[in-house]
Amino acid sequence: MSASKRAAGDTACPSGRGPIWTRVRRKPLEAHVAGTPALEVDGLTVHYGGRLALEGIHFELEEGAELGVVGPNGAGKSTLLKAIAGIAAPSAGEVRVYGHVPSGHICIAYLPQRSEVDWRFPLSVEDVVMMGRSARLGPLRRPGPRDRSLVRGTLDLVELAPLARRSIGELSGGEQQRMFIARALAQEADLVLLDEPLAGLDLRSQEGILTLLSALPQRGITLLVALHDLGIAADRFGKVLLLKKSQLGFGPPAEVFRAEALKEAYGASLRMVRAEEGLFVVSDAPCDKETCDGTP
Amino acid sequence: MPRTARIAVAVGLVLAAVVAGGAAAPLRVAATTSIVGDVVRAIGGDGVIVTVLLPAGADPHAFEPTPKEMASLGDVQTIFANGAGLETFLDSLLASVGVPIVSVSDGIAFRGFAQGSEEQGVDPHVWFDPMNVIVWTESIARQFATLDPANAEGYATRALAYEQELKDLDVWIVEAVAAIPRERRKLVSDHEAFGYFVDRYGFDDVGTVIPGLSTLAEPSAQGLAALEDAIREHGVPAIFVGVSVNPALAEQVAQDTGARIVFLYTGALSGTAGPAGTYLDLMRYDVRTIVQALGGGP
Amino acid sequence: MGLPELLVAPFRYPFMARGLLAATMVGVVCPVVGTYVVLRGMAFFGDALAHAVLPGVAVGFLTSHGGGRRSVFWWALGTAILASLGIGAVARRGRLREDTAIGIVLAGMFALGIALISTVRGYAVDLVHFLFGNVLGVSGGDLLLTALLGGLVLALVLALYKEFLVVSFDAILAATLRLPVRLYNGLLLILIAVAVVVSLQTVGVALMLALLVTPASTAYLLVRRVPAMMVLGAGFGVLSGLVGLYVSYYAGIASGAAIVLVATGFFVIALFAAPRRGLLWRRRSN
Repeated sequence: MSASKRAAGDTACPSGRGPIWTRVRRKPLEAHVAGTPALEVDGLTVHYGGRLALEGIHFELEEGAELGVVGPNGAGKSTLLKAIAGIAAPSAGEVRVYGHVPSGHICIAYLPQRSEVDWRFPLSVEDVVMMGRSARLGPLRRPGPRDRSLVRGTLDLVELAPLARRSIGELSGGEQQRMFIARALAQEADLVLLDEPLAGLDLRSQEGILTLLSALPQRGITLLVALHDLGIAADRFGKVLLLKKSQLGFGPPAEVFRAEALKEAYGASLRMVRAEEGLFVVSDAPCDKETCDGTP
Repeated sequence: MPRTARIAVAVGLVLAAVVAGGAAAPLRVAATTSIVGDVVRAIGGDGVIVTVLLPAGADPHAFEPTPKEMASLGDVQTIFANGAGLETFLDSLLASVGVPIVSVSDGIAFRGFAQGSEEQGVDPHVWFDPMNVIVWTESIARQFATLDPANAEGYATRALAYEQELKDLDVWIVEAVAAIPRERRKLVSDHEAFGYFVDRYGFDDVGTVIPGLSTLAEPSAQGLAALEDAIREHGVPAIFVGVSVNPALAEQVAQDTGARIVFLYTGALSGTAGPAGTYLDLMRYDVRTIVQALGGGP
Repeated sequence: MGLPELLVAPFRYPFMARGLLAATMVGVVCPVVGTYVVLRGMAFFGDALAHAVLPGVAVGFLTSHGGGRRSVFWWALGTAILASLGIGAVARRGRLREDTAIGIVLAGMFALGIALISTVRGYAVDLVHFLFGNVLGVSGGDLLLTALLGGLVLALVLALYKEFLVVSFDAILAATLRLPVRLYNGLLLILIAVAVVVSLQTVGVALMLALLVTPASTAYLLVRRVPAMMVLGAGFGVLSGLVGLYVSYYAGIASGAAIVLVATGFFVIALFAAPRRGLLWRRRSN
């Protein structure tokens, strides 16, 4: 790997997979290839647990874009996010973040569905957010004043500053989500991937998260959010990706959310209602024998 | 010769061979410890095959026979055991073999343990007093005579000869021990093995590292502390440790008090290549070592 | 005897002073490493590791003809490290659940150790020491070894504190930060193995688990953050060692067991009396 000098002012996003000792003590390399899109997914196919999870996904995102990823259960939304984050390997095709494979970047933040963390760990909100700094610090170094002020700044941004010392076991669902977003910011992430961030939250908390997320693109952060709610996807996201193992549509919601595509994605579990503006208001509801008799 | 006559002669020859063979067949017996086994051999003579259950260097307090060792007891006619509680752990195993077991120590005037010891029951280390071994020879000779009356005279003769050797040993020990000044006759050992020796030859039992007969017992902190105090108070120069026992604890006590660790044979013989290949050799070696360690001469 | 005399008297004997030093060092190292054992639910693994050391001990005996305690120690250490990495690998692989896999390895290696020891016709007493500890028999050399290795373990846990924490709390974050997760997990397993071997002489196999788990759990009930849990856990560990040795001296009971009983006593008190988390508090608020 060539080690070119970091140009001043460039996003510090070290890259490169060298032998194990350089991985432990990383030397920053300039990774952002000038002029490349923030994210390129090219013919991505992923097998997960021995099964085909994704096939032939193909799209590009510029820096600062917001993408809503929608599809029924098992469509491969989580797998897509994992592949982009660099924690699931493609069986075919490529993912490129600023021109390089994801595994070389530490500027990608992936927020999985919340339940995968042990909330009984004795940690404060501040502790968890500070974890985002680990890669930047490297082993053997303690967080310094710059790191602490950065963490405080992110907590302010997500409006968790008063809870900085709170134990994580005492947080509500919305607070937990905001903490993870603060951690992604502390990580100085350029690409943030969220998997169902609104699940289990009440409407007010959902609104708070969505507002927070919408502030990220203006900081140069590219967002991908996997969600269930087609209405929110249609209202809040400039682009959407409709998935059911393969790509059923990519682009502005009005283009993607057409009857045939939605039917193909959601099949018989779909119920559609005609609304005033002529747009379909759709919901992904469980299928009931009496009501699912094929009415479009 | 007519055919029936030839058959009769053949059968007669075979019977004679069997009877003769039976008469010449060696007596097979077993002994639990090598010390008991040595005395049994001395009395049994060449016509007896003795299998010793505990291998050389084994600790009789903690012995577990393997299936092969148990099988070696297969065709013995009697088992000689020390008795007095030394082999209680083997009782059920030995009983399952199904042959008569002779506790050779039956009839000895047993002693209990030192005060402050945690042991109940009697002290089984009777062989440290040769006079007790005389009781052994009587039991052993009696049992041999029961099993093999034809050779009873031979057993009796050898028993008497061995008893004489034991008496000579006793006299020798008294002389050897006399070289140690009375105030220096203090014995500290790793476990309570020397009770009978101490009684017979006029020593003081200052204490033991492990307060009991079994090497498996654990010493208490206060017990060790008391021992160290006693060693210092009496100016004891040596701690006597059995060769088949791990001396780690005793080593620490020795280091703390300035005493030396001295190895003795306590529960088993050394094997023919070593200095304690027979019971008599074992006693002589141990006594010489004790005398030297406690400053009784060259 | 007045109280000051009661407190000082036992430690006038060098073997008690050495035992106290050993118990103190172990009382610091085990709860610090044990913090991760508790938080990651690795208690069974820790117990399995203590048992899996037996074949190493046996081989050490056999090869040194029962004479070299150092040899036994290094064999035990090597076996512990191999066993910890091996158990880790077995647990990850295959269709068996993790605790089943650990149980199989534990029993198998322990049986191997017993089989090897049964070929040694003497020195059975050391099996007892291995099982129950022999803190009164600690030598100066043992103390030095404990200090060096225990110090190494502590230094690594402190130096790599945030890495171990991230890898333990959020493996996915660790993956996205490109931390070498397998390396750190393996290293943590090795540190646990070293802590176990270094502490075996104090409490033995049977009670080893208690030193790893109990003081750290007591601390867990009382504090809110990981560094505090490590420090308070070490405090309880040292205190249990000290009080345990006093109890063993004056009550005449085995020292290893006394230390564990004291540590457990602290835990029970914390279980009831801890602010917010204790049982008494929860009852009152209901």
